[in-house]
Amino acid sequence: MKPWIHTHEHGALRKRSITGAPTTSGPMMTPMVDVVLVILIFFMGSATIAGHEWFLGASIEDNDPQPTPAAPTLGLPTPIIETRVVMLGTTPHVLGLGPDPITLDEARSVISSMDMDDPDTIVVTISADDDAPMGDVVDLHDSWNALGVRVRLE
Amino acid sequence: MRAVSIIQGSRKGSGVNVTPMIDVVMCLIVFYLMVGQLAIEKRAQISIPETTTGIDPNDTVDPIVIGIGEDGTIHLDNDTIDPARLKGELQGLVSRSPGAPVRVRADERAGFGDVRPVLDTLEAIGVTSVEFVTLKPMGGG
Repeated sequence: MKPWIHTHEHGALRKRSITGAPTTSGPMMTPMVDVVLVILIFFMGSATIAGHEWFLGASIEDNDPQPTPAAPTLGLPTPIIETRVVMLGTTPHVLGLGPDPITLDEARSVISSMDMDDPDTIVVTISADDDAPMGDVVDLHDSWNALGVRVRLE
Repeated sequence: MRAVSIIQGSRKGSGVNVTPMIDVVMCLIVFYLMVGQLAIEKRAQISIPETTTGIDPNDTVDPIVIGIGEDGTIHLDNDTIDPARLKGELQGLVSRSPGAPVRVRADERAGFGDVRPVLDTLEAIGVTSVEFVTLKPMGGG
């Protein structure tokens, strides 16, 4: 045990060694704590960036979609827009948004320019060729999702 | 017990003993390095596409996650699974966790022909909707 005495200096009770040795002996902790905090913040930041995932929902029911609450009052069937990603050569194209196949970029602009009053009453089906990359299918899905329609994969 | 002379005053090495703290800190750093490396390796197998829209996960039940690699290999709970066994395994998972969301982590380079059989299997066992895992754009969302 280290010998200590208590003295009153400037009105405060302070601890002081009998021999006058400085009370701050030992290693400096401050730089080490700084480094540890920086490392912790770095790893927490990395984990947050790596965890930036979300998802797109899609129906996979083969049956006709159930009408939304708005549709039955009108007595109308649920409108369905059928689209398909096809490979023409090595380039993916989209069928169903016009008389001819259009590229994905064109499809994106066509979809974003659509004006729908009740998009959640509309069902869009997406199908694709076997060799159509999933990234392009998801891209089309994303465009429809931005519009607020319901998407069904076939 | 160390004997210290009052006259001699403080001896060298007095103060806070930081050795255990350094040990703990080093263990934490090694742990995070290993976990980070494992997570990177696991994610590197499947390159999921980036989308501008999506729903943030807010799961009350653990989701059933199906991975589809670039070459069409199917992963269930991070294990590669034979497509012939997929239906049985999925049926077991769905019956054990009714109401659990089914999440598909499909590689953006995989063909839709690799994904369709999985969707058909899910539909056959009564699953009506799936969620495709995508990446949020960096700095957005």
